[in-house]
Amino acid sequence: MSQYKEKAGISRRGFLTASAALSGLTLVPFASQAQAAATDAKAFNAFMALSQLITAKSDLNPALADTIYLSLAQQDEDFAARIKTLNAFVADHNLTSANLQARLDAEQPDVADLPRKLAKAWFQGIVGEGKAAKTISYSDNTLMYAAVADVLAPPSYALGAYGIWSSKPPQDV
Amino acid sequence: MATTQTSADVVIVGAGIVGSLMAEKIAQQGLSVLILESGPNIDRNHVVAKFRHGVDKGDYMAPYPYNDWAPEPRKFNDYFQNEGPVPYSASYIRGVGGTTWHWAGMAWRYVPNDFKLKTLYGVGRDWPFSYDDLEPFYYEAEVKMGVSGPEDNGSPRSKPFPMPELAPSWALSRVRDRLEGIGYKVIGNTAARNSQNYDGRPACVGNNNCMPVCPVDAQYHGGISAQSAKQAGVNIITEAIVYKIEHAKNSDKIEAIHYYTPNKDSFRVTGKTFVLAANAIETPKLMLMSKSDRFPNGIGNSNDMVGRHLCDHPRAKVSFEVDEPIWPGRGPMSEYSIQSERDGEWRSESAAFRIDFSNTNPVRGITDKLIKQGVYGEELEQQIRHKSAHSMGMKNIVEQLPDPNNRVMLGDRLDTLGIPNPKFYYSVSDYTRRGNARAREIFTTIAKRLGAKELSFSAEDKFSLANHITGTLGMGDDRATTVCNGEGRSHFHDNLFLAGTGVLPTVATVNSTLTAVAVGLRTAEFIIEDLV
Ligand SMILES: Cc1cc2nc3c(=O)[nH]c(=O)nc-3n(C[C@H](O)[C@H](O)[C@H](O)COP(=O)(O)OP(=O)(O)OC[C@H]3O[C@@H](n4cnc5c(N)ncnc54)[C@H](O)[C@@H]3O)c2cc1C
Repeated sequence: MSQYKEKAGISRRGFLTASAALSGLTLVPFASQAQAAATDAKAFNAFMALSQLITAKSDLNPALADTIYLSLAQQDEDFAARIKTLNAFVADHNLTSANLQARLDAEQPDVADLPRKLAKAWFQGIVGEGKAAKTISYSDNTLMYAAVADVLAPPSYALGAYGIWSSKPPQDV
Repeated sequence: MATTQTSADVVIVGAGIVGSLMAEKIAQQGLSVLILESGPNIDRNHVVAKFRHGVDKGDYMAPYPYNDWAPEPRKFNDYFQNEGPVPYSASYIRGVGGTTWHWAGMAWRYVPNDFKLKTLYGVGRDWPFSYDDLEPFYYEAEVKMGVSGPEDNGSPRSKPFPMPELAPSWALSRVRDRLEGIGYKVIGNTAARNSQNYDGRPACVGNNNCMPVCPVDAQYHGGISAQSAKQAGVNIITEAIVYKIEHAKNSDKIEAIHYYTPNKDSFRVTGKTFVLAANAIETPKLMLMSKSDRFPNGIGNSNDMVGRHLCDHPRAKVSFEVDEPIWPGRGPMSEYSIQSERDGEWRSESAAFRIDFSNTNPVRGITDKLIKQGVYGEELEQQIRHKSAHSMGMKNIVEQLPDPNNRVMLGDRLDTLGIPNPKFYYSVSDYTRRGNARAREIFTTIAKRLGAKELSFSAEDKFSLANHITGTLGMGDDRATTVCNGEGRSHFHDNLFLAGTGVLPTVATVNSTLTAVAVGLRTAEFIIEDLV
């Protein structure tokens, strides 16, 4: 069907990542957990602990974790220090996901932006703000879509065979 | 500036759905047809990939190529200038295939009374022909575009749809069953969407991405029309930005059309007949720009009517939580609606409308809100699930009456080729506002029936416009107040035809494209009659 080639379009490299997206993969650049951890093991561990608190998941995708950590660290040179501060504060005060944001807003505003950044990365697959924002994941691995994966597909991916939408979806929600 | 010459029997400006389908029909009669298209070719798979990589997935324009030599309204470019009390906004795509690359595929016919608003209700204006005159062309358009839908939808038909109605989503079935009890009949939309393999394209598989792009072409679009035109022998020149229409030295006949390349080289194209199908904003702009000593108001504008009577659907919206998990987002994005308010005696006082229910996957917007509120952990996952399952949105496709003050003009800002941006005066009358008020009452009744929680209405003086850009090239029998006659022929230039949604003299209560295509296919017959 695609006889039409967009002129001012995507480079060959862009197209390769695009092909990965087409097959439903998570978009991760070449980075390893070791490499990420090597930057600052304590910061990385703090990041993982907080990610688990915010997502309520213990089986977070390690490749995605690397990408998120590296991207956030790239965009904020104090990230390693700030994530450790946040983690220490959470541990010291036994904060839970339910009271996390309110307590930070009141008592530790310097790092109160971080939970939202982690949530946005894990749940929405987006790191960074404004012009610097980028998509690092768009699939069933993106947690907002993982949450509904038994009923809905991320838009642009097929739900299933023609007419599958007529079936009764889960009612216990 | 280089000047090269090209020629064809029929020269069409704009390779959108209307221009392309007219071109195909004319070429099939053995006439030579040339389309000048301002934008580049568009490749579906690139658009899909760009969408998936994109950050702002709610911006339906973002995945499409942007060129400052053929600008279109974007979040970042301030393309529209506004002077009226209500800012006019619309979005369109400049590229081969045009704006229906991203649309919801809704392909409604008008109802018969829409064609005689003035006679029946004393408001608006009458069309120069009747529903029955257009009916065969509606059918021709439906076969081309692969339209399916319920037979009983308010618009009479001489033949069944070319394919069966789309399978209903669970949400549609539940809302239909529950609203039946309070006397509102809910039906599936008539849409250019395949319910089976059709014309080499597959059936819908529920990607729920009709906007900004259907990844599998189960939804028809103008790129497919342009391809059919090419197969019929039509020559499409891309990146050809038309900027001037030239008339003969000593007569009103149109003789040539001039276009720029992105580098501003200029080309002149001659022909016997010319068709302007560059959409309801860019076409009037082009006519207004083409001034000469003989036509100081621009081409086709001796009565100062080009660009006036701009209509759209200034809608009201509501959203709420339904009391049962209907799970919108399975199947197409715009799936079902209520027709009962499209016509009635009250139409002399207050605007008619159709009510649309959203079936768009709501997960992204819901997650955005929850994260903003600082909801995390298990609670976040549970709420994403709960709110997504119960979410509901409704809009009214409300009629706006043609008002000569509402109009497209030439702006004072110029693009990189020196072509003016469009400028608007736009307002919303009490007639339409009364329609919106009535719609809000119906929204409330329906919401109550569906056990609504967290009901949220759009502000009364905020309008959500619908990209149904009509009236600016209006057809009619009255030469003083319209731009072209019922054939689509300019009142002032015998060999100039206008096409696209702009020629619809009234906007009625439905999305405009199917009617614009039907009217264009009808106009094509007059063009063929002239030349064969
Ligand atoms: C988000 C969205 C959803 C929509 N949903 C629906 C729907 O469900 N149902 C419906 O009926 N309608 C819908 N519409 C409206 C629909 O897209 C338009 O009605 C339709 O595209 C009009 O067709 P057209 O051929 O007149 O114009 P277009 O599709 O806009 O095509 C015009 C063509 O002319 C070209 N052109 C412009 N200027 C020049 C120039 N100077 N020189 C050369 N070429 C030029 C453009 O590049 C373009 O290719 C929707 C629109 C949007 C934005």
